[in-house]
Amino acid sequence: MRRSILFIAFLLSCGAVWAQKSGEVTGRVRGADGGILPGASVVIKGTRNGTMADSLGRFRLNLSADTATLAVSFIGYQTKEVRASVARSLDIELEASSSQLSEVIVSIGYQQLPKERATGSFAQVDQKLFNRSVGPDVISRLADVTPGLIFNRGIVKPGSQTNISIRGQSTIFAKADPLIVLDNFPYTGDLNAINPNDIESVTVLKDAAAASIWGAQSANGVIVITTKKAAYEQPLRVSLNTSLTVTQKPDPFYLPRMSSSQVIDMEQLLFSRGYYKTAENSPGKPALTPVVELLIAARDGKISAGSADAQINALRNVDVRNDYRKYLYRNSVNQQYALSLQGGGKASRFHLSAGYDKGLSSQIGNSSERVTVSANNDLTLLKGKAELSTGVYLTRQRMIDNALGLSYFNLTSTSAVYPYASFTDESGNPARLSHYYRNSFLDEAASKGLLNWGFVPLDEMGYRNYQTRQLDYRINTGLRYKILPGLSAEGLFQYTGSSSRGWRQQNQKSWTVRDLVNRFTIASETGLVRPVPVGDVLDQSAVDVSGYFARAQANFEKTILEKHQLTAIAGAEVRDLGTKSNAWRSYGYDDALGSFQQVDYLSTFKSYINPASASNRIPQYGGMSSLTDRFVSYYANAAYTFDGRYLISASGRKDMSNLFGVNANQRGVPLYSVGVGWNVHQEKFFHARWLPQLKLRATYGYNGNIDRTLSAYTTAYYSIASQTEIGLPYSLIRNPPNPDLRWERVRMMNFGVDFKTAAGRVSGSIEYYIKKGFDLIGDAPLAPQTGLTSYRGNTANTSGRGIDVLLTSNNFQGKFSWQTQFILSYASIKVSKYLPKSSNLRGDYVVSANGYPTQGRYLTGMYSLPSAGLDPENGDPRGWLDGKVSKNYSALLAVADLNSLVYHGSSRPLVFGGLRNTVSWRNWSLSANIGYRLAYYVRLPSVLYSQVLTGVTAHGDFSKRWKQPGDELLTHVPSMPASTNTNRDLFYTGSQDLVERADHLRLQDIRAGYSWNAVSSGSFIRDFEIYAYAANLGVIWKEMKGSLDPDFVDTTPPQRSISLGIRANF
Amino acid sequence: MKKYLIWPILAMLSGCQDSFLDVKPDKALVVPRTLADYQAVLDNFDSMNSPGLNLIAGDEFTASFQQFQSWEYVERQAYLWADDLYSGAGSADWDVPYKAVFAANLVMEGAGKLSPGPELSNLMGYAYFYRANAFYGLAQQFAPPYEAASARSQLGIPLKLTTEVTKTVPRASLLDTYQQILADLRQAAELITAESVWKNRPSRAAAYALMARVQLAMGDYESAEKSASASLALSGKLVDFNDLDPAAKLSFPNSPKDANQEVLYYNRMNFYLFFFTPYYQVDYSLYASYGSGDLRKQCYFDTLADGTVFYKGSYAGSFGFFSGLATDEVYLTRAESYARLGNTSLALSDLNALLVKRFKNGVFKPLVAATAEQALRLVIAERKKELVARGLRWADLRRLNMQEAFKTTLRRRHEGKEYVLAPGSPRYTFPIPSNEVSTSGIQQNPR
Repeated sequence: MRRSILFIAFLLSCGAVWAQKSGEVTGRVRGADGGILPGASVVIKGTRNGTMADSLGRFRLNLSADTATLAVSFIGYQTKEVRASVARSLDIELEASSSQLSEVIVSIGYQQLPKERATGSFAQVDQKLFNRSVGPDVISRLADVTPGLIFNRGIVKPGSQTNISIRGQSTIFAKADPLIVLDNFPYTGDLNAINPNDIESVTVLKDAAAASIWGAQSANGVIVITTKKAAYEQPLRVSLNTSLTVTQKPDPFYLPRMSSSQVIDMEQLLFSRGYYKTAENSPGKPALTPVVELLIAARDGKISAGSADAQINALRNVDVRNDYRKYLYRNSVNQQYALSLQGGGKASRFHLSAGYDKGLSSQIGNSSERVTVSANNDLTLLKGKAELSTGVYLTRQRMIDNALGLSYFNLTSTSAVYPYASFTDESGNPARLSHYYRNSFLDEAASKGLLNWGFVPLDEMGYRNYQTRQLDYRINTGLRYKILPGLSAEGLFQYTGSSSRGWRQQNQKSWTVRDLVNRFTIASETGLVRPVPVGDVLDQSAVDVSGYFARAQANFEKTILEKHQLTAIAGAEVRDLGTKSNAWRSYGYDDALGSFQQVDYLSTFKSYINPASASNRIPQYGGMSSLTDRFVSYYANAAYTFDGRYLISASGRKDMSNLFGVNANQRGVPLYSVGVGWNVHQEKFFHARWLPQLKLRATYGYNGNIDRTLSAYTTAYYSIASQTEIGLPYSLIRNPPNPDLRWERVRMMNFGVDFKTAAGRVSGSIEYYIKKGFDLIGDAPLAPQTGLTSYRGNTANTSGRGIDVLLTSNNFQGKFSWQTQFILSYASIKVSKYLPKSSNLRGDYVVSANGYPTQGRYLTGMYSLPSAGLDPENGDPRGWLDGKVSKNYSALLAVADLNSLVYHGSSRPLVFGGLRNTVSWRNWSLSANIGYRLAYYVRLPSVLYSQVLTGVTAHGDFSKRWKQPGDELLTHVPSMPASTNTNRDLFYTGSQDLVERADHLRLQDIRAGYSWNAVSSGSFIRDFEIYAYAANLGVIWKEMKGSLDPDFVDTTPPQRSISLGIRANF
Repeated sequence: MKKYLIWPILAMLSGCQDSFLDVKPDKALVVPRTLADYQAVLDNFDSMNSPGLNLIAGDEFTASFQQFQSWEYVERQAYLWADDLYSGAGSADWDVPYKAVFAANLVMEGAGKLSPGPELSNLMGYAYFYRANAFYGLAQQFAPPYEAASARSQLGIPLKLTTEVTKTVPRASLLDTYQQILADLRQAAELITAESVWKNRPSRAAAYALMARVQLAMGDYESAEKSASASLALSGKLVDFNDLDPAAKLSFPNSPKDANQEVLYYNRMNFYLFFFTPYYQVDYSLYASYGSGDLRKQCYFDTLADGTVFYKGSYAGSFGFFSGLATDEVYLTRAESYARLGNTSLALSDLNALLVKRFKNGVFKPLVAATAEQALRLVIAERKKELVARGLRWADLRRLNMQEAFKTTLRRRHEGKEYVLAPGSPRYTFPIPSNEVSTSGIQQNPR
């Protein structure tokens, strides 16, 4: 410690010296971590003379004698006494106090505040915790380490930035993901463009006091991300971080499905019933599977029955999933390299960073590259009165998407490839699959001179050149000026945007292009005419986002008579963000010449396949859009602390936007919050030595949310003339008139206690909140006679409550240490008002993923049809109708009374969190994180006989079906009916038999590291760490039976991965 | 001090804030204001489609068990005249016509702010026409057949005449329903003057033609004759089937722009799987009813390899089944009206004028009838053969079943069971979708 002070003092004396007067001592106060400590108190010991450090941590103080002892203190740091003498400049480094509560500075994006002076609910992920995991993006590193925050696995909401909920879902139809704030400004861009190695810390704002400063965008919570900055007067530091992550290839066998042999049996049965007759005679010449073709050939006497049987039986052991594994998937590899340089002089500081990431996706053909560069620089001007900061952040990404997705392998446009398909023939050469059209038709077409129409998957893989290049940029400038002691003004401006270019070139040899050319080919007496030219098909797209944020803010901070501390900010903000996109297609593209050919988009053509289909136009891919988001906001925030004991805070904000297109008085919504806090341990009467820290706090306030798809007026969209089938432009009504449209509001009350026992043995915080949503946008069914079947308006209220607990226990400390961190979140959101009633109970409650908003029930509810088990005689599923067992499926489906549905509970976890244990010994450390999710339900997919009886590869539950009396005791999978009975399928798939508790424990990750710190400051390497990290290690306990992961019952879960990395500072 | 800094900024912001925030969030978003905007709303002719389930419930097409299996639930239920059709879901046959009504009301409400002139007059005329057409389509499927004696006491359909989406109306009487349709059509016939190349925009002749169709359904033959005559005076062209290629995959063009010259108003039915080849087959007795030399047999129908007879004669080409208005229907309506009014010769002259264009050149022998009664039978028979899959047969069955001479019982065999639809059965009126009944509380039809 002393050494470093001397070292810094030495540096200071070498550099230009801060102007000094006689009788005056100057200096600056910093934390041992290098951070400046604005507002630190500097008092001459034994007197009441003192001062406070300015925003850069500097102070000047008149001494009455030539030397004196200064007591320097700052909340969250140990008070330090320093010997000072006139005309000497001091650099004082304060050690963080061991109190975990106080060391935290939270950022709300408008100001930094010490957590001890905050009343709101903040969850902070510091750099160490943030870097514990290795993911290439910022957001995934917050998983299972942040109380109240949950990743909604397997739920992909289009248009969302993240799939995170903070303290439960706050809205029904509006934007449901939290606001991301990056370096003081909302960030709406691509989260993958942020390099996690540049991140200093992440703060999650959870309650009204914390988040309402963000007003109308804060109802879902706010995630504040701060990038790294250098400290002033800091020697040059170089940091290097590199890691390599390997992830197992996906398992195509994870989701159960019928075996090839079972499907072949079904095809034979269906063939004997004449099922394929319609397809065989269809003018669309739809593809038939090899088994059906063999059966037809045998029927028509083209091959012998014995030969057909032999060939069919040979297919029974073929499983296309082996080929998926072999030809489509690989272990994915991700490499990260990051380098940063930082340093600071007296009047300037800088941080430069560069990162390179490369990922090879698990799908062969897909990869991505990212280069990030950032430079930020702060300059102190006007004798320390002003600080000018600038920052430039650039990210260049290239994504290559040449993989053939599974959706590419189809028999027809509606059914997937047959399960016994094989990508190679007996001799290992690429094989042709039956795809879209019957092979006999394709062979005949080829004989007439059409392009080869066959689909050979392994050849296809080289025929795509799909890539996206994207440049993201942010340019920040800020000027802060100290007007008076304690009062400063600042102006911040950000110019931001991104530019993305998509290039999707399909080679003329690809099936898609050949098919397109052939479909439009006209066979005439003079030869073939090809309205779609033979050549590559190139789709290009361009999306350009650009905009600015500007903010003017005044900051006030003053301590009056030592005990009264007041901080306040007030400001105004303008935001304008425009998105222009544009896409177009070129036919007959020739890469060598860079040329393309014109096609006739307007005429209609006969299909070569089915000449009766005469109204085909050459597909035109393209479009353009221009979107504008504008906001004007005013905000203020003030906090008063008395004697470090009592805290009061208040904030207010008004946002106005162009989104509603309504009268000016409805454009904006004022939102506010108030909070109080009490540092009990600061009280004279509080003497519990075992509890050196105890803080109570409570807040109340409103956050807002908006649905940008709505408007108060009747609005319509124009269609493009050449894309309508009649060639006349027309417009579609999108929105009915809705003059009463308002913004959604969420009211939150939060009560928290923060504590720490002696020597930091156990510390933590416990919070309880009550959350009510008002005027939530909901769908009200309308009488269709109005011209609309539903209407989106402010129709719903919700009422929720929850608990967030964070406990840290230092079980052992010393050479060997063991720390346990426990996170528990409980979030229950129920609907308190929803006026509309469902008129289709089964559709709205059972089929839709989250049930239908219903008063008194969970917003994300799980419902099912009551089951009476299988019929012991024939294995039919049975339900309950008016208290009696029934198999009248259409009546069972036409549920008329909500009470006749089973209401299980929530479909999202009500209780979730994590348990992280870290043990370390000397330089070694090992930690493991277990995540848990409890009290929720999942609906399992199962076999649909409408698929089985149409020859489609259905769910693997087919094997577990009822086959003979007695089976009903062992299975709930119904028997196979003689013919398709859609209602029977619908009843079974909606029945309570398929709803299970999804509670489970998951070993999220394990991390082992070896770290080393330089003992002497002269060492070239200051510190380094080498680590190994394994993630997605699997479910370790679950309530439901079977092999499926409860969070992934219809998709493949993320695979196990292992990372190795080195982090070094020079 | 703080104040001095902030206020100028605030003043600056608030000064330009209104125009700053007036920018549309999405350029493609249009708040209809101009005449062109309103015309574009009416040109969205998918929202003008007519109900289609009545064709499935009627006697023109039939299906094998395999074909039946491939349909949607509602189609299967409609085909078997079942109690419940929708299984709790809504129905496009109810929703789409009311979408058209909404669009028409939107135009009528917004037009007040536009400058008057012939363009506005046409636009308003279109709006009245579309509303009348939608109400008529709904009345044929969801209200009982019109009988003058009981029309005042029977329930028609909700007559929604404003765009307020939060306001619902009860079912009007059957009389008021038809009076509203006729009133709208009188407005349309007066306001529409222009002929558009786009046949989805109705002509004045179309307004009279629809009026004739409505009056025929009401059994008001005198008015029907007058309206049909007014329509034919404006446009009476017929296509000579000798000019068609009987081998063509489709006999008529697709687009409302180059629709055949008989088309007065281009419209089509809601899409159902039923309408796609090979999911149905043409009723054999209908197919067999065309005499030799009748070109309609080749121009309307074709056969698949397995012998399934399908329909290829839609005036909407491959775009679906035509349900608009064409001159052939107007000739038949007037012929029927004349016959009903006792004018045998005029009835026959209209009928023969049509049929001569349908038979091979030189083969056709003009039909003769001794009495008006005989002439009427000829007209009714030809009406079924000419207007195949136009969405008119259901309405004809409903009205003709009220007359002893023309009563028809429909029968289906399905999975070994016989289904019967007797003349005058309440099942000739479809149930109203339950989402309408539960939200607006209107009265359900007996079944």
